[in-house]
Amino acid sequence: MAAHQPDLTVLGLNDDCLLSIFNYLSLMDLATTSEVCERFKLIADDVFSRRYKHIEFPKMGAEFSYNHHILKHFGHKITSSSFSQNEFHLSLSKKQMSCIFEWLGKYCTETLEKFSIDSKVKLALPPTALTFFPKVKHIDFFYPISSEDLKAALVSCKNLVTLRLDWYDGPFHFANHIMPHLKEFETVIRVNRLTEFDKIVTFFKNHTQLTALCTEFFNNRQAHYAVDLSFLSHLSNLTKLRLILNGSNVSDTASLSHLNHLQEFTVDCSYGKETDVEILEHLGSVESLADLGLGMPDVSHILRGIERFKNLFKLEIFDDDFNDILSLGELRSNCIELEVWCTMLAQPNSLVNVVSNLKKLERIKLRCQVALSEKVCADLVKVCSSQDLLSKNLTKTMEDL
Amino acid sequence: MSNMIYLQSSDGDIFETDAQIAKCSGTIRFMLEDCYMGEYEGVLIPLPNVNSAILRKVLKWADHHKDDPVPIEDDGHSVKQVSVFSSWDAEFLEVDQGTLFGLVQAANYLDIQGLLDVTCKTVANKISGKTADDIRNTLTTNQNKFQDFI
Repeated sequence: MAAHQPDLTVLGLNDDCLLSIFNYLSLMDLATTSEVCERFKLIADDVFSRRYKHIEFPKMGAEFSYNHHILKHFGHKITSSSFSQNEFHLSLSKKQMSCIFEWLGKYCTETLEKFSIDSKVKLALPPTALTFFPKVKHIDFFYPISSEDLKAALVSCKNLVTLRLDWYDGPFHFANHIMPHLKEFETVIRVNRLTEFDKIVTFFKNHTQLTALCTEFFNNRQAHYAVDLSFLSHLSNLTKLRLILNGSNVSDTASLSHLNHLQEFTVDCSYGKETDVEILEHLGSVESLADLGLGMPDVSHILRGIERFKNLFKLEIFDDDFNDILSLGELRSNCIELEVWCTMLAQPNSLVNVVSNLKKLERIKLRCQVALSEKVCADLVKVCSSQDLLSKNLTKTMEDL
Repeated sequence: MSNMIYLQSSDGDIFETDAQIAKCSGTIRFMLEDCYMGEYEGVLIPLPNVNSAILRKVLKWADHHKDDPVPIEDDGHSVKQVSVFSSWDAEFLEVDQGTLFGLVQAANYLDIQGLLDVTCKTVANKISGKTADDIRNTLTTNQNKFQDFI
């Protein structure tokens, strides 16, 4: 063999070597490299799949042609993608926007499983934009999608497992549409005199297989139009329920008693304290409940309700106005974790009381401004360790503060 | 204490080197520690995949980098950072492409992560920003070789 190997070219290198080289290329260069020859293409595909689990379009700060270049070469490898239209992307013209959807449809139809649209403004999508993805399983529409677009999307995506409509508050026009594989659903429901709860019931009757549901109710006249919870009686497979009532009046809380498999439940304030109590009472027989989240400034009226959950693992309180930790002082629960999200805690000293009643507590997370004196810290550590269950997390939280 | 060993290139030339330096190669380190159980003073290791010119360069690189910290393993999933490498490395890699590819191949075969990094970066820099045609022209003088693969 000649000493300087004059014939060794890049093609003489094995796949491992090429892979190492391609690892140093930008996505744009990687796409170009895949045009060079069939072998380069296979290796570039491999590098792409390892490196990119999710691709967002349009790419910020890049020339528009970038989007086509990447989709053309790697579209068949993209399983998760999103379209974002935020303040950085607003220069995108209508034509460019429809180009991106056309390319996504052309190159990713066979592979795309997860897709999201994120926009602060309404989007005038081309009429077929959302019909390109028959294989998509997970959709997240985080923008004010129109009823027509939503319907078109649902008709074409027959395999949906997850559907999140973070910002759709239109009527349930899709009530009769059946998604046989749907497991997780998230939506916003505007409550007014036009809200057709019968349609909502129909929809959930058709989707009794749901395991996770998140609904947020918006209600301008909180007491006037009640949120009818009767649809919950069809959802006995739910393991996760997030009910954001925003102070609404509620009817048929008894439906909650059908949720025999619920493991995680989150609720905020309803219109009246009696209703809060009722909600927890109806859930009281659910033995599987392990995580309870309460978005309430005051929980003193539902302490007995919380205590009914014998297998509670985690209690979370999230409300900016929650400040009186003392209101938890009477709570006797076997929960292992306590987490509080609020702006500030007024009476940090009472933490010691609270903790001493929660016999099995191992972790406290305080996500708020709180001034803990050294004495309180020491007491907390003492209380917890005296029960032989002091957690590192508690100490760590103290250090963080 | 020096622990000299001998490496034999594909052309049959024998290079004497300190075992500590040769051990920057994962392949050689494995042989010395596992096959010779640490008793390797004076052993001869044949390297049929590395020719003399390349092996000489590899040993020069290894000698210069013998005090480098051990590189951290990465998962290979993230975009590698194309950092500026030392002026010594830059000068070391001012070679014809045949030699550069030979070094990539040797670094891969001998499992020398540091050398693989700098050589691959150098090749990647040659590709960066070019069109597919430019890449074909840059990386090989023999156009036909690519034609076979298209």
